[in-house]
Amino acid sequence: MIIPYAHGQSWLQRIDPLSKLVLILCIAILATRFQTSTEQAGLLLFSMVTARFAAGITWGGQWKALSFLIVFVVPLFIITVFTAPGTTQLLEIGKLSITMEGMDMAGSVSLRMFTLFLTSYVYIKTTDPQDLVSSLTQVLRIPYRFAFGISMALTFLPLLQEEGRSISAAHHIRGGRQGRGLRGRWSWWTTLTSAVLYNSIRRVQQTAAAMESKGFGAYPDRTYLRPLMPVQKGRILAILGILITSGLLWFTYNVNL
Amino acid sequence: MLQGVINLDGLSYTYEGDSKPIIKDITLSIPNGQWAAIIGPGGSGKSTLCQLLNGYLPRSGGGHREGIVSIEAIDPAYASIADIAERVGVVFQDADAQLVQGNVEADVAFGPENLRVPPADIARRISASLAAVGLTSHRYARVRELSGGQRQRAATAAVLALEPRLFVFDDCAASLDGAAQVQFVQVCASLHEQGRTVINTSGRFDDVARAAERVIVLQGGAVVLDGPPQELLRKHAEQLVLLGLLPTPEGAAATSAQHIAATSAQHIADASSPDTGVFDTTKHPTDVSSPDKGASYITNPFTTVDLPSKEGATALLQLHKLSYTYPGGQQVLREVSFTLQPGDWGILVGENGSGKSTLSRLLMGLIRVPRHSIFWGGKDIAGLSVADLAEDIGYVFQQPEHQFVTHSVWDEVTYGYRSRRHRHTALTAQEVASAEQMLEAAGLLGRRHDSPYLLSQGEKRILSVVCQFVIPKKLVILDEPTSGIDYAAAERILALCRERVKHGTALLMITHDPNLVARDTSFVLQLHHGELQ
Repeated sequence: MIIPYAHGQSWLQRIDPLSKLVLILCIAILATRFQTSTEQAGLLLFSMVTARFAAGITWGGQWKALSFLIVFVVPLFIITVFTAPGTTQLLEIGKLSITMEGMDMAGSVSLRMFTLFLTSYVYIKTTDPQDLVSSLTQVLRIPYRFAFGISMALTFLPLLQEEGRSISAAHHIRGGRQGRGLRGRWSWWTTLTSAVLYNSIRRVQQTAAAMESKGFGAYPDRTYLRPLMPVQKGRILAILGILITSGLLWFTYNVNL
Repeated sequence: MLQGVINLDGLSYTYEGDSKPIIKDITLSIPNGQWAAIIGPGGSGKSTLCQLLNGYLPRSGGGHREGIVSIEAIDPAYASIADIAERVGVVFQDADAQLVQGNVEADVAFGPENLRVPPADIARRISASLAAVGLTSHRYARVRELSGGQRQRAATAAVLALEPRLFVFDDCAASLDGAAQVQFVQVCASLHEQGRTVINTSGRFDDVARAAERVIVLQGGAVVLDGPPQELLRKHAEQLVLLGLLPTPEGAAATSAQHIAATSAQHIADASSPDTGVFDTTKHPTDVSSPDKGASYITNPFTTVDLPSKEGATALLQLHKLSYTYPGGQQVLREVSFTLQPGDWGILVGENGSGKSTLSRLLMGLIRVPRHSIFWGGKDIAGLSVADLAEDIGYVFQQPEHQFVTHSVWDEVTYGYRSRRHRHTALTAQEVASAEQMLEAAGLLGRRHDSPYLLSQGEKRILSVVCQFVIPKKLVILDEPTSGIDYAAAERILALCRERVKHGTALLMITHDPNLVARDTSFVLQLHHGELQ
């Protein structure tokens, strides 16, 4: 699953990339700090409501993005349920037992994964790679070659995904069909992956040559057509985010414990 | 006043892994401010020369160069990136590889930003460049929303915005429609008037070459002719025909416009009355009476089983009021209707972005087909998979590279056979013979072990066609199969097409070269802003 930037005018799309990055870091810190399922559920709910109303991502769109994680989260949940220490026993299956604490811990780690994924998803969906490059280079003074590496990855990965689809279609058009059984599928995927890899390397070489021929890397700095996004609203939001996060952290350390 | 010259002295170049040089001992000088066209058949070294001029070869692309390349007294292979970018702007054939930012404005701004041009000046350059290539209305468009021709124009605008002293256009007019080609010649003329050096390459003695001051003809990596275009046309026309740079006299004679207009009207009319004649057995006129015309380039490669002949056959394909809007809301097709019979050879023409490729992709099921709008043998194809449609329909991609699925020419041409059985099962003697005959007809037998990606553009195109013709299909859709290739290679492709049509295959060909195929076609469909004219 590759997430492209979605053009639009949602509220979060009008916030500068660095302020949004601060907000994501705040949520990530809280997600790491919170230990109970209830706290994690609250954080996830907050992230989902933000994604819906500030980023304009529909509930269906969020479910589609998060469902991708289920294959990873379910095994993690099961392992944690049976391995986390606890005293309040709920169920015993042979030598394995499920405790209230284990359930809580498993719920917490699973919800944490959803939260971290969703916030990253919202960030990529609402941040134009060009604005990110401008902010990294002009505000944080990161060398533009490095910043463009991030931007190119964000721009390029969806293109590669398209290339993969195109190659898959080419196989079908040429009469190729996915074989049955494990061996057939393995054969199909190795052929497809090899073609995609080959094309990706070719595309990367061509793109590098095209960038160089247009003077990329010619000078230590460059100019930017697009002005930096206004940062006032973003800064207020980022400061608010930091204050709320600090307050919640203080609360969990001093009151919760 | 601009100073300096381009000097090539004893220039030879050999690709890594190759034993023979592709550029052989070229010595020539191009004064600053000259407009020169370098033309030659596929594989003559034109693109290689362009890459040597901007230093990509051998610096990044490897290989071995001998001799001198000097541009304004610098050697591009060893000069700094800034020195090259300020002197030389190259537009390569593959537009997709040159558009690196994802949207038109950002891509055009990319070069000037790298060269530290002030933002106000960049904005001016963007407006001027996009206006020059007729893409102003697409300034804020995403690159992937553009058609192939529009992408090529965006790539050209991106280099125009660099404002270098030397422009190299590597066959970048090939995928442009007629109006855009005229505009491109005007752009080159304007740059020439400004005193900039302009070099165009092409596989044909086209309008750009005719308008240039000087034409340099390459063959086999060496210069064989050099002079003003009118002089070359007057004194060396026969040689230019033999090289495939001019059409043969018989190839230049096109079928009358009246014939095309009459048959086109018939096909559109058939599709407009679905209640009575959707799949009627009306025989549609098809000109297959001259299969040998232009066959001097090939031998008959077909030993395959014939498909049902046209006599008494039912309609293969019918489109009934097909409209299509992309998920982003961009409507590209409006109520398109026509029918196609077995053995028909229809051509689809229209300006860049008129919806031709979208239509062909819909026919192949590559994008979701609206219900009750496309019928194959009487069945609605909505919901059918590409693999199901591929049993009967072949598809030649606009970009040959998108079609390649293996790592050698031989594997490509035999992929269709191997995909029908276990991949490790050996080919039958008949299949091997048939594939070899096909490659021989395509002029690619000697390159059977090479990677398809290392072929010249013309060779890639002909390989992409051959791969679809190896196994007979009822319909083959070809998306600009003759674009950017010399007349000899184009004639090879057309001869292969004629043979297929003779054996009952229907063809639907998207082209910006209607005159090349006019004498063969059953009908012409013209799309304008998504509507059939």
